[in-house]
Amino acid sequence: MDSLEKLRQQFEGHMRAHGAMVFSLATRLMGDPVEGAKLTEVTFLAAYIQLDQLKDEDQMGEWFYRLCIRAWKEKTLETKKQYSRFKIYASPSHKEGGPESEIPGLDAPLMVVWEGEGRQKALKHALSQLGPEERALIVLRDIDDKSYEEISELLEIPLDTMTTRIARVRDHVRQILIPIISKVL
Amino acid sequence: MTSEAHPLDQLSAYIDEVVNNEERLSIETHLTQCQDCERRYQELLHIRKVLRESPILVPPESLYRSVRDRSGMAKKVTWRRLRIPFAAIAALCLLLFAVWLCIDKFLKHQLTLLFLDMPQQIFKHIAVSTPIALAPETQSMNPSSATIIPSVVTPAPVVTPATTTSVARVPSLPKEEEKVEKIVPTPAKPPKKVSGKTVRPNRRSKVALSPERVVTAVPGEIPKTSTRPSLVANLPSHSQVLKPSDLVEWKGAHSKIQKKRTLHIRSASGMRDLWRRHAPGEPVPEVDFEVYDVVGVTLGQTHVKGKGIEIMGTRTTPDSLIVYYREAADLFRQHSMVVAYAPYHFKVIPKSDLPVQFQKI
Repeated sequence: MDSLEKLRQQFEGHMRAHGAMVFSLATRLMGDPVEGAKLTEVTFLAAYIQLDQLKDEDQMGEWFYRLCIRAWKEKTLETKKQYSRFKIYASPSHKEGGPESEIPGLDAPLMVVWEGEGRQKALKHALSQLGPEERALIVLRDIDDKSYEEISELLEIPLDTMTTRIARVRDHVRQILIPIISKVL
Repeated sequence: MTSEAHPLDQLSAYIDEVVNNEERLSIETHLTQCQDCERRYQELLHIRKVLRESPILVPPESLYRSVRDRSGMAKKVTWRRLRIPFAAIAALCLLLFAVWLCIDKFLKHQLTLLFLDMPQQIFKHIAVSTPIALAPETQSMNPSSATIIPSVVTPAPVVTPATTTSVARVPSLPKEEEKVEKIVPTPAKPPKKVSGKTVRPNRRSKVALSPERVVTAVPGEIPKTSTRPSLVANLPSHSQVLKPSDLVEWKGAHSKIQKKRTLHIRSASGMRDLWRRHAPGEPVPEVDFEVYDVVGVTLGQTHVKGKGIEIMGTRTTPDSLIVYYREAADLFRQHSMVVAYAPYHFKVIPKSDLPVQFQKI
């Protein structure tokens, strides 16, 4: 049995091992769990088809991660007209045809308590208000703790503009969340 | 510090620790002096901390099923599961087939391997020009080079060849008889000289035996022994290849014994009686009955072409000596001129006091 066939047979195990990571990334990139599930599925299908391109089996998780980013970029390009390319203060995505948030209005997070699930719900809402690239920056940097160089490579953004872009995205999120976190801090 | 000098972008970089020392000192100095920037810095830190605490999301099981179905993994998994029983079944079939082959071969051809205690070269006198039919494995199965008394050549027991004349004696033969009677009998061939001895042409051997199984016995010089040969000590060397002429048995398709019989001859008188009924008028072969016995089987009269009978071997048990024989429809081949047969097979075996049992295979 060759290594590729062995990899194919073991693929489901790898998929389940890294499924949560990919699904979390996809859901946050898309700002919606349903869209995230679709992106995850596309990611795993692409991985299964391109298994022969995997160089190191130990890097399977990282490979899934990159494939998910790539799939997200392709999906974003498809809907480029619906999303602003890099609006720092973009309008809420649902107004641009993006995925609808579970929390329809900007005032809704103000009603949640900045603790436990309420805090995550508010963050989720804030992310859903961002444009695709903004969301990707904040997810990769603040949630997945990727370095500026890695983000620059993954999103194909010039490295020297990374500091400014990330700063603006963070300020955007801060502005969305300031009504509730100001009461806490 | 004025608002224009607020290091808004640098605050984010400062949080990520991607500023140089000079910038870091400048930002830290500013933060100690500007409450707005300090508050913004705390808010950014808090948001970043909360973001990093984001839980891992668990995908639904349907996601994995969907990927499996769409990628074709499900098929492969099914095949992988089924391949194991298929391989096992195939291996089992092969094993059963091999076992069946072994058993079949053993029963048909290799049974004589059991009978190593059966010396063959045991005659004082060897019959000349007696058709001797032995399977090749049987020849190699005579390890006991029983030393034999020098032979005195005596004429072979000659049985009247089966010709149309003999066929005509059968009064009530079916339609085949009429066909045979129309055939002109072949004139007898003149005697040939083999190894300096005159050998009468034996129609019987030509008629009854297949070419590869027919061996014309030629007497040779055989050493004499007065005691029963040891089956172990007298094993022949490889160079001491046994000749067919040393193997003593009588086998053919035309005996005068017209009934199915199993015979065990223990004495010379019994041998004479046997030969009188088997081949009347022919010289009786001399056998040292102090050392050997003769066993035999006759099939009786048959009209089935090619059908014969043969002794496969013997086996000594604590209670008896078992003689294995078989009847087969393909023992003889060249028989187009003959319609009636009486196959027989007599064989010399070491003398035994045990009762002899005949067992058909």
